[in-house]
Amino acid sequence: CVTVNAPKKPIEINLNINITQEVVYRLDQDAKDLIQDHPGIF
Amino acid sequence: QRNPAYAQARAAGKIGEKPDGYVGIVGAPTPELQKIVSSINIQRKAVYTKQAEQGGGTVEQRAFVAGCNLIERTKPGEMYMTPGGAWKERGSGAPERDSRCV
Amino acid sequence: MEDDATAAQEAEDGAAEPFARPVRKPSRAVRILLLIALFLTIVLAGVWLQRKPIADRIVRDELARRGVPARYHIADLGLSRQRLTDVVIGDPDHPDLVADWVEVSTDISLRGASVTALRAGHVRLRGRLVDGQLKLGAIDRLLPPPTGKPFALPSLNVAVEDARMRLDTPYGVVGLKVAGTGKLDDGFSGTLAAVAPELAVAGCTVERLAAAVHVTIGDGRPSLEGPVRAAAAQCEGAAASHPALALDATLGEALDRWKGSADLTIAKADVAAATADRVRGTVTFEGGPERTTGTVELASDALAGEGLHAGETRIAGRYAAGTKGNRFGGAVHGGGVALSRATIQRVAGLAGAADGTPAGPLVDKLVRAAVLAGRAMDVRAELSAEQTDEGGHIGVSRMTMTARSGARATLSGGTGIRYRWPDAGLTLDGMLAFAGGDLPEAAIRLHQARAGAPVRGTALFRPYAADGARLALTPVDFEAAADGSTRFTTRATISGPIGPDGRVSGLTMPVSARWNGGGRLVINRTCVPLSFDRLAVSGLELDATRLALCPEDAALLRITGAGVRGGAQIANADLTGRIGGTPLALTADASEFRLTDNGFRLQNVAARIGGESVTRIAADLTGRVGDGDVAGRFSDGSGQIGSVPLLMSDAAGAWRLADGVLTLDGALKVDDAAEDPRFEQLASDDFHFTLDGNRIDAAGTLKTPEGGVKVSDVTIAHDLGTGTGHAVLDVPGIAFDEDFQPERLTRLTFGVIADVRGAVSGKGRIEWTSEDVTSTGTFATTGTDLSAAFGTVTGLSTTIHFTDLLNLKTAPDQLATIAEVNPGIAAIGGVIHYQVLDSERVRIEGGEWPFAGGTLILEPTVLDFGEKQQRRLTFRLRGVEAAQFLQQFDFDNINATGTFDGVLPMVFDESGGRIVDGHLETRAGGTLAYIGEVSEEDLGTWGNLAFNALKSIRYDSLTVTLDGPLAGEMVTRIRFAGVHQGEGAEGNFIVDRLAKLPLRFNIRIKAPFRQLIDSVQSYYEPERLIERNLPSLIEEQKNQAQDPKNTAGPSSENDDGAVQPTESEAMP
Repeated sequence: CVTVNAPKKPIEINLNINITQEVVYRLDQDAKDLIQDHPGIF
Repeated sequence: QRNPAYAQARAAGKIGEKPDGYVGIVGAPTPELQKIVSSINIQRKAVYTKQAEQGGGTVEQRAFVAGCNLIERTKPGEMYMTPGGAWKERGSGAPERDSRCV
Repeated sequence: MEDDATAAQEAEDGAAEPFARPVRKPSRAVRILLLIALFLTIVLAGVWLQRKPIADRIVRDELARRGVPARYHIADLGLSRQRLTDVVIGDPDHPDLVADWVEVSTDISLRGASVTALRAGHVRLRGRLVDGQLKLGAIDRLLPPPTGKPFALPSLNVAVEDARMRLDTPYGVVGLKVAGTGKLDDGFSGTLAAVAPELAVAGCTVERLAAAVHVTIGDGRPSLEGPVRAAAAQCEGAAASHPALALDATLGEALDRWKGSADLTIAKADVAAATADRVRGTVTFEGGPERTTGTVELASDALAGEGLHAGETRIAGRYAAGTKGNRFGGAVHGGGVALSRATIQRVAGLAGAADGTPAGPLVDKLVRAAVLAGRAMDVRAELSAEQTDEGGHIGVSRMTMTARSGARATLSGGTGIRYRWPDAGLTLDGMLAFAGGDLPEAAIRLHQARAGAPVRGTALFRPYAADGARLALTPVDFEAAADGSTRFTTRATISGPIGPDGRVSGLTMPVSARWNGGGRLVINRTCVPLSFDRLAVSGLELDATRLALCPEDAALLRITGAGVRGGAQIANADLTGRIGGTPLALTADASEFRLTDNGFRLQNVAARIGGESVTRIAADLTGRVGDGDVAGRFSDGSGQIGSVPLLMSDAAGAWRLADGVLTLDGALKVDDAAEDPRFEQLASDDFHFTLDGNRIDAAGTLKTPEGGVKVSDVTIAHDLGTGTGHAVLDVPGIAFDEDFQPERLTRLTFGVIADVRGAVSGKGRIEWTSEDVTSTGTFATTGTDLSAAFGTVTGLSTTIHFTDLLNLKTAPDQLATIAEVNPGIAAIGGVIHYQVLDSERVRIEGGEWPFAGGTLILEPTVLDFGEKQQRRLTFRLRGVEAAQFLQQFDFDNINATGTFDGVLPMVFDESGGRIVDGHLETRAGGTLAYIGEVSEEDLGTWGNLAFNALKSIRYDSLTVTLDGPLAGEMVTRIRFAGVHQGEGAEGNFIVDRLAKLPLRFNIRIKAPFRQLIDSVQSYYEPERLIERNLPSLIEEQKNQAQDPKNTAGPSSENDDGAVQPTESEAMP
C-alpha cells in the first residue's frame, strides 16, 4: 500500500488555469462576426 | 459608416489598432483625439462585454481576438501596434502580430 | 311863275344828287344852254308858256345822251323852284331812284344859277359800295366827274321827308332811311335810320343791326346821336349778344374821321373764355378807319370765367385799334371774385397730399387758406394787351388780390406776368408778394428777359407753421443754368409729424433744384449734408446727427410728367438715441430709400441697446413705409439679448414696426456664448421677437440644425431699462437612439459616455440682472442605458436638481437608481447618491447594491471625467451569502454556505476597472459542495484526487484575495482553512488521510472573476471541463513537459495574500 505522510508544509495544489491560443482559435469566428456587425466602431 | 472625425484621424495615421482590440493615439495626443479614441473604445468595450456575457469568455479575450482580426484587416498606410508595443505603418505584406493570433 | 328850263335842269341835278353828292360850278353843258336861253329870251313870253315841253325835251335829250333811262313828270317849273313828281331813274324794273316829288330851289345870280335848296318827299334809292366808292347805278352818269378835293359836305339846303336807300356793301346789305331838313354843311338836322340784317366786316359779324340816330350837321361836320342796336356781334374770340349803343359822335368834314362816345350795354359778352352778363359802360373814340383811339369803361354784374366767376367787374382803360394792330392798357377790378366749384374742389382735393410727412399740416393749411381765399376775392390789376398780325401779348403788371379771408397777393414792379402768342411764352418779371389769410408770407422778386429765358431773382419766405409743423427757407436764389433752365437753391429746415405718432424737428437740408420751365423739376443731383435735431418714430428717438445724403440714381427727387421718382442713399449712418427710453446706438453701412414705392434697404445695420448689459442686434434690412406701419424683411441677422449667454446668428425673416412695437418673426441659429460651449449650435424656424417700449419678449423652439430634432422651447423676457430678465427652457423630451446621440447636442459627453438609449426631459430657468446671472433647472431621465469607460449601465433613472444650471452644479444628495451596472461584474439594483460639481466632475456620496444576500457599498469619492488619470473607487462587501452569491451566478450544481465581508479597492482608468488588493473573508465557517453528477474521466491522478477531495468540504475560514482587471483575468487566491470533508464527499483512503492533514488548499486560479466562478463550476462538471478545456489542458500538460517556464509553478510567496499582479493585460 502506499503511505502518504503528511508533509509538514501544506500541500499547495496550484491549479493554474489560463487560457492560451486555443481560446483565440475558439473565439475567432465570433470576433469576425462582431467586426462585421459594427463597422462604425471598428 | 464611421464617424468622419474617427475615419479622418485613422486615415491620417493619428489613430492605430492595438493588439488588445482597442484603438490608441499614435504620437502626440490631443484633446480631440483623446475624445475620439475613448468614444470608440467605450463602444468597442460595450460590444465585447455583451459578447462575453452572451457567448462566454472574458471581455479581454473577446477584445484580444478582435484585435488580432483588426490588425490583420488594417489597410496599407494605416497604423497598428506590434506585440512589442511599437507603432508600425501597415505595409503591403502581413502585419507583425501576436504569436497567438490565428 | 317858275323860272326857266335851266332851273329844271338844276333840279334834275339836285334831285339826282341827294345829300350824298355836292352841286358844283355849272358844267359845260349848262353853258351851252345859257347861250340858247339868251337866244330865246326874245321869245320869252311865247316860250314861257311852252317851258315844260321844252325843258322836258332838253332833259330827255341830255338823259338819252348819258344813256340814263328816266321817267318823270314836271309838276312845276318856276324860275326859283322846280318841282318834279313821280321821278323814276334807272332800269324801270330795278329803278335806281324813285321819288314821289322833288323840289329844287335855284338861285340865279350873276355867277350863274346855283341850287340853294333841295326838297324831296318819299325817295327810294339803290346804291352799292364798291371798294370804298359809292355807286348809285344810273345816277352816277348824271354826276359830274369826281374832283381831287377831299370830300366835303356841300352847302345845300336840304329837306327830305323820307329818303330810303338800299346800300349793297361788301359787308352786307344796309337799309338807310333819312329824314330831315337844313343846310347840308351846317345846320342840317334830321334822323337817320339804318338797318342791316347781317354785316361782316374785319372778321366780325353783326346780326340785325338797327340804328336810329339824330343827325345834326354843324360846320360841315355831322354829328350822330342816338341808339344803335344789334341782335348779336361776333368777332374773333369775342361775342356780344344784344349789344346796344347810345351813340354820340361827330364825323369829320370828309366823313373819314370820327370822334365821340357811346354808352354801351351788352346782354351777354363772351371774351376769351369768359362770359360777362349785363355789360354796360361807355366807350369813347376818336380817329379814323386807319387808327382809332379812345377810352373804354365797362362794368358787368356777373362774369364767369373758365376757372372762376366774379360778381361786379369793372374794366377801364385806353385802347387803340386800327389796321396796324390793336392795343389796350387799363385797369381791371373784379369784386366778389370766386373760384369755380370745380376749381375749389380740385384745390381742396390736394389736402392730405403730404399726410404722414412733416409737410402734411403745412400743405393742409395752405390748401385751406387757398380754398378760403378762393371763395371771395377782390382783384385789381393793371392789364396791357397788344395784338398785331404777327402775334400779341397780354400782360398783368400790377395786381392786388385781397380775399375776404384776409389773404393778400400783390404783383408789382417790372413788366409783371406776360403771356405771348403765338409762341405761348410766359415771362415773369416783378415782385410777387403773398401775406395774410393763413397764406405763407413770401416776397418773390423775379426777372425773365423773354419767354422761355431762365428766370432770375430771389424769393424770401417767412417761416410757415401749422399745428406742430414748421418750414423755414433761407432766401431762394433763382439763376440761369447753362442749359437755359432755371436753377434755384435754398436751405430748408422743417419740423413736423412723421406717420401717426412720429415727429422730426430741425431737419435741415440744402436744396438745389433745376426747373426747365415746363413740367420737369429735378432736386439735388449731388450729395448734400442732411442734419436733424431730433427724430422720433414709434418709440424710437434719435438725437441730433449729420448724414451725407446722396441721390440714388440721377437725382434725390425728380418730378416729370411721368410722376415722382428718386431716392436717397446714406453711405454710413451713425446715430445715437433711445428706444423706449433705453440708450441706443445705431449704425448702418449703405442705406437706400426709394420714393417710387416708399421702400428702403439698410445694409449691415448694427444696434446696441441698453446701458450696462447691452443688447446687440445687427442685420440687413429691407422694408417699405406703409400708411400705418413700416414692415419688411431682415437677413444675415445676429445679436445677443443683455447678458443672456445665448448668441443669435443667421437670423432672417420678416419685421414690422407699428404702434411703437417692433416685431421680428423668422429663423435663426443659437450658440452657447461660453468659450468652450456647453451645447452645439441649435436652430429655430419659428422665432418670434417683440420690442415694445423697453421690454423684449422672445420665444421659439430650438431644434438641431440637421434633422430638426426638437430640443427645447425657449421663452425670454428682458427689460432693456434695468437689464433684468429671465429665460425659461422647457425640454419636453429628447430621445437618444443609435441615430441620435448626446454628442449631437453637447461635446461634454463625447468620449465619456456612448450608446445612450433613453430620454431626458426637464425645465431650466435663467434669471439675470445687469450684474449677475443665476440659473436653476430640474432634468430627469428614466430607464436609460449607456456605456461608459467603466462599463455598461442599463436602466439609469435620476432626477437632477441643478442649483447652477449654466455651470452644471447641483445640490448635494442627488439620487440615481441603476438597474444594472456592468464594469465586468453585473451589479444589479444600484442606488447612488451623487452631486454634480461642474461639467466634468461628479462627487459620489455613496452607492449601494444588494449583492448576493449582502450589500455592495461604494464609498464616497469624486469622479473627474475631464482628466485622463486613474480614478479610485472603493467597494465594501458586507454580509454576502455564499449560497446566494453562487445562486446569483446560477451555479446550480454547487452548494455553499457561509457569509463573508470584504473590501474591493478598484482603480478605473482609460481602459477599464481593476481590483487592486481585493480581500474577502468569511465571518465563520461554511460548506462548499458539488451536487452535480460526476463522471470519472482521466483527470490524471491529481485531478481525481482534487476533485474528490473538493466534492464536498467544510471549512472553518475562507479568504479570497482578488487582483486584476474586472474585465480581464483576475488573479484569485482562495485559502481554506480547517477543511474537513463535508457530507456526501466520498471518503476514500487517501481522502481520510488527507482529512487529518492540516490541509490548506491554496487554489490559485488565474482566470477572470467570472471565469473564476465559471471554472469552479466547470471544475465540478467534468463534461463541461472536458468540453471546454480538455484540449487546452492536454496542451498545457504538453507544454509543461517541454517548457517549464510557461506554467506558474508553485509560487514561493507565502500565503499571506501578497500576490504579485501578473501582467494580465497582455495575457489572452
